[in-house]
Amino acid sequence: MDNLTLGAVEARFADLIWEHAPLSSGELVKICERELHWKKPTTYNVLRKLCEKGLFRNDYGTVSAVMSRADFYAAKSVKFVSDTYGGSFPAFVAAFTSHKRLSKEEADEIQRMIDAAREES
Amino acid sequence: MEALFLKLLDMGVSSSWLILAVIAARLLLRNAPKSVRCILWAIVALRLACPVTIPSPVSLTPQAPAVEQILIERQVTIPRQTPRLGNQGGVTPHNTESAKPESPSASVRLTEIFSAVWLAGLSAMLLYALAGFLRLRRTVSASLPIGGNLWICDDIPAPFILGILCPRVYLPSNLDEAQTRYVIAHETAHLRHFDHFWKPLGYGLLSVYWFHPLVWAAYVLFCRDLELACDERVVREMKLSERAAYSQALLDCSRERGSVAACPLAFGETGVKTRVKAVLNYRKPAFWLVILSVIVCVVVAVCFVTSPARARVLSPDVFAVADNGGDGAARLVAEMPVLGGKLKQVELHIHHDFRGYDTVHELLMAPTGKEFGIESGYLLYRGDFPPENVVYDSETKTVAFQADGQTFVYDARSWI
Repeated sequence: MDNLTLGAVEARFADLIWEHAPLSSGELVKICERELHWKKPTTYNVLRKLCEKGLFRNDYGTVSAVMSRADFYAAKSVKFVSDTYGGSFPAFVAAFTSHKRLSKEEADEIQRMIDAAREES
Repeated sequence: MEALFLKLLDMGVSSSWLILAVIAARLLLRNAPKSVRCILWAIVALRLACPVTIPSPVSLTPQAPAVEQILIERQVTIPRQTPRLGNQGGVTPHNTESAKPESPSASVRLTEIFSAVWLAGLSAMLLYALAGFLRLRRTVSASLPIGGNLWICDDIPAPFILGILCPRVYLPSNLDEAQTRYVIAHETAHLRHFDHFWKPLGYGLLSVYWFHPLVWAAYVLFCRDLELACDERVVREMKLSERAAYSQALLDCSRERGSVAACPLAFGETGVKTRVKAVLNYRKPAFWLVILSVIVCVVVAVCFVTSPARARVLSPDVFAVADNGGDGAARLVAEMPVLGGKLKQVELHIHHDFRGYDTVHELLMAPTGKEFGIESGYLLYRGDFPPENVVYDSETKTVAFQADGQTFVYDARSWI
């Protein structure tokens, strides 16, 4: 349980569940529709991810908390983004940076360039 | 369909020189504002998208025989079993049933195959884009708005813009304050210049010209230049220390995260090193460089968006005329008795619904001794436009006519 982390969006969703748990999955969908404007498949997807992480359970349509909110935030460690989106962005999308793998050597080289510039300024 | 494909082939080939010129201009104007490069690519896009070119004497587009002409010139000579085109004497509409050709010429089949392959390629490109778009959209369905058109999402590795009509900026949820500030500045700069529209438009052109390697090169470079221009806009007024912070955000957003799935062909993506270097070394361009860039753009546009209005000297090929049984209507255009007694007349044939074209005009030279409906002769021209002003110059022994804004000149001596 030490490496359990939540992204900002997942945290918001988890808060909703903790607020209303236990509740039926149908009710959860309605709440998410109201509060977050999420569609049903989206709600179920994120719920599934959090169940896989061990925070909640979905037994035959009843959603309940495995770990309470207090316990979770007590054990929380540094956040990282779970990179579930694999591959590069489609070529027609304007992105901030490419998702091409940056080798350690290249990353270090660029960091050196940046540090040199900082020294200069 | 074949007509469209041939036209695209033609446009693609004639745009090649423009693309090469733009690549050269990019090298020349390395230190000029990066937005200049985007303007040059806009010229390329215009040329690729526009079927009409302006004939002009200052055109630098080199002469190349029209693709269709090449296909015709390689046509196989069919032995004289093809039915005649009509009766002796005057103009007679053809008998539609009996006049089907025995076998379509080789070049026609080739064109049909190529057109089908092209269509398949185009569909594949568009389907790939659609699939990618849907996948992205599914991923960001679990996102939360944070004001304006900004959204945060847990599952994306880097910020990007999605959507053309109602664009949304999606940010990974774990950016720190500095990164968020620079990312938003960068993405809003993209939005202000409608880059979220130009990039897919470029991809659309790429899909149409997928068979053309230079267009691929152009698209890759265009995407790079788009990012560099955007960076430039953001850091234009920044001091070096701030530019270093911006570069740090760039670097941090590009670092490997977690486990990255297999990366498909990474085209259209800019190297972070190039961008960081450009940002850190940015200097306001000298005035003369800006002027030079404008001049280069104008010159490139004028020279390459026009097509040459010069005459082409060609030699005709012998072929056997195969008529599809459409409304071929022929009329006498010119008589040339002086070509060593060998040639008799020039005929203009107009076919409707000929192999899927709407109307095809053919200019033919009939050898002496043949009846009005020729079995074999010389094809001078076949195309959508009617040839006009057919003239024989007895001094130079050339036949000249105009079609589609171009002048054709045939050296008649090769027929004698």
